[in-house]
Amino acid sequence: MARYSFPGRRTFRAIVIVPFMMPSIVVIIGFLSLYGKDGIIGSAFPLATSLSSGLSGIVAVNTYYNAPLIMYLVSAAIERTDPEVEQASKIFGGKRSLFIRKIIMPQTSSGVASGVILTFIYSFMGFTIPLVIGGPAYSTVEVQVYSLFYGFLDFGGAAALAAFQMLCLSALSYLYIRTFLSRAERIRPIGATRIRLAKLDFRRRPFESLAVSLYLLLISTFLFSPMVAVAYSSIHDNQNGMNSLGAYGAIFSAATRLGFSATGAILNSLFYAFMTTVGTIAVCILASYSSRRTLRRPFLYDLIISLPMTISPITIALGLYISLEPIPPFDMIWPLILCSHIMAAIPLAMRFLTSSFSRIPRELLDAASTLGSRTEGLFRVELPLIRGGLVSAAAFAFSTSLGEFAATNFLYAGRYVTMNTAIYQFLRYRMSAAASAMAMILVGFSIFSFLVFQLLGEERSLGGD
Amino acid sequence: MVEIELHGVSKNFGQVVALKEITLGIEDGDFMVLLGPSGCGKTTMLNIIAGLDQPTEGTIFFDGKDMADIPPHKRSVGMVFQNGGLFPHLTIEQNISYGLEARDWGQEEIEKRISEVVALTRLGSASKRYPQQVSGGQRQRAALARALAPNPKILLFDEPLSFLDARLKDELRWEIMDIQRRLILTTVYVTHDHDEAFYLSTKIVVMREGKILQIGDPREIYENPLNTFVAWFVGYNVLGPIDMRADRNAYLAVKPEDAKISLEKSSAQLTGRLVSIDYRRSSYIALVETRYGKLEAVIQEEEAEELRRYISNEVGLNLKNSKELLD
Repeated sequence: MARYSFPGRRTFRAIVIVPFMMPSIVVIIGFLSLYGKDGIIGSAFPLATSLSSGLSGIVAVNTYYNAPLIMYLVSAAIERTDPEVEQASKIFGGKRSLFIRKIIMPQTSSGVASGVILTFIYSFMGFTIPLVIGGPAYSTVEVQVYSLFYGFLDFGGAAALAAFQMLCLSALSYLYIRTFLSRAERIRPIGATRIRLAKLDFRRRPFESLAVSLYLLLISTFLFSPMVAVAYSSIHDNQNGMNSLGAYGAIFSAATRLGFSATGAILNSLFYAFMTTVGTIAVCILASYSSRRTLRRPFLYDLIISLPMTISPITIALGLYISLEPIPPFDMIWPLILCSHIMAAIPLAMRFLTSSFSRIPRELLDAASTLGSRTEGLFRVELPLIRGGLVSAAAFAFSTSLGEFAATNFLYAGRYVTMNTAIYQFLRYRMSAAASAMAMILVGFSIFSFLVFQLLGEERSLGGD
Repeated sequence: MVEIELHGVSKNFGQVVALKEITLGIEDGDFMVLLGPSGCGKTTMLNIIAGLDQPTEGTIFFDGKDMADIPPHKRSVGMVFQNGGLFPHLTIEQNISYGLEARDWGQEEIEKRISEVVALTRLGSASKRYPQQVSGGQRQRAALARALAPNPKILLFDEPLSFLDARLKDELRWEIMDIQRRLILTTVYVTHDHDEAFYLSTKIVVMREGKILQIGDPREIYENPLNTFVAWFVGYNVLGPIDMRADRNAYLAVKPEDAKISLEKSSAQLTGRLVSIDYRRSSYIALVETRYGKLEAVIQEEEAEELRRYISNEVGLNLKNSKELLD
């Protein structure tokens, strides 16, 4: 599909990334209200309820989450193939199958491989999804650490298990760095980087047109049905079958009954998101700026970019918690949560910034340093030039913080409620309408950061060169 | 005005040796061209003079002062890059003003200086535009204006004309030379184009694989190349190997204009098969295949007419001013 041009192509490519930017708790509510026992589809087809519980549920939600990532990586890799290479292959009379096997596949394989490993890592250290829909039988290491700590107060056991997980993740992320960072760089095309797209005209290519349309329809349904379901269940009352905005009002009373303030939760979430954005950008600029000029990427850089992949949110939270033994005082909790959010946001943000920094031609950097000092160059030349990457990184940091649940839930001690933990509380006490309504508000903010990302940022850099 | 000295300068990039113990003096007001094929270390040398790269070993002096800890913007150098290196988010005027603002010039002085360098480089109204909106030639003028604005004492050029078309190249080449002579700036200019080197320089440094092969004024280099590589690179025919001298191959080098074709084979120094005769603007080039390799000879129009009948036949060659050179 990356090789065809058709109306709405850009828009479609852009919105494919939406689920990836959605908080996992929202996606879970979407699945529950679609395929749950009382869900829109689940109540009609009992078989479909397997998509919202147990092992199959976990797999379904993880698939939903990571499919866009892989699509994005692969299509970015396909688009990067040099048009001159394709022309050359045509001149040699290469058959299409040969072209795909010899040219396209080798160039995309590292994209696919890195997508696969990333997906594996994300699912391996998943917390929210198995916690909410897996149930005790299907808990991950991450969930186990959490329940050892809070359920059984077995601090040592929790720490040991977290260490074990860290080991596994280190191995995986080493693999990831090897496949992605090294290979993608070696096979960067020499010439132009945009392929010429074949125009998809129904009269000339009826089969391809139909296939692409069908594919688009399926993907869109798959990607957007959970979101629509959340919206629907937030205004639909299961008891009396009426539609109203009552649930939005009910958030407040429901929150009060559970002992927190709904407005507070929204404000807390926004506060964390804002502070995370600022903090992440500061850390990432420093890190990618300092590693930029050296010919070989320094070890420190690889460490920083892979650290949050190796250390799961719960491990971060556990580490932060233990570091303030015996029990962190209450006023230390919000900085801890902030810390954990920043660590979660760093890898992707870092990716955006380093790829933008590395796209600045060396000539411009040299020119800047013959004319003025390095700080001058950073603020007046480099940062203006990477504005797109900067906005993308900021938007992603913002949405990461908005969607962070695992570490927050571990640390928040009932005090610093965010929208995510609030939704989880609503779910636990079966206040599904309030959960949906709160989820919709969260969706609103996520869409806002998505729009910022799309309209002002650089859309092409997620797959990262 | 500055005298530049390099003392035993080496540069390694990991395992790759880019420069090998270079010692070189550049005199005040020199227009020195670093000439060599790509990968010979000439750009690395320029970057080290500018302070953009640090030498792995060795020292650089400007007027006897060690430059080791002096950052590029404090070395009083102006640099023009291959693509200009103009900041795309700033207009050409803002580009020129950048170096002046960085040196804390006052607003009035900046404006005055901008109009001076814009006039000097004949940018005209293009100075109000963004780099992407002007032609390649204007972009290089703008880059020169930006480099000149802070009154540098040294001008550095990194193949600034290589992406321009031939006529524009001639024009800008002339202007660079004119400006350099008027301002009497010590200049180092990197190129792989020997025409450009002979046209611009007061001194040429021929480099290969991180080492200096020969230093001299243009005439010296062309009349007396020291080895086969220099001879070949500046346009000689290099024939051979014809002999061995102390384990090294000896070659015969001759300029195309000094090779004469003769139909009296018996008295000729060398014979070979005449392959082709081609028109080259004011003269013709005859290509002769000898047992030591191909040779080009410059011939005149009447000669060309006559020799055409002998294409594919054996002809004689007489070589004037030929030199025996070692590898």
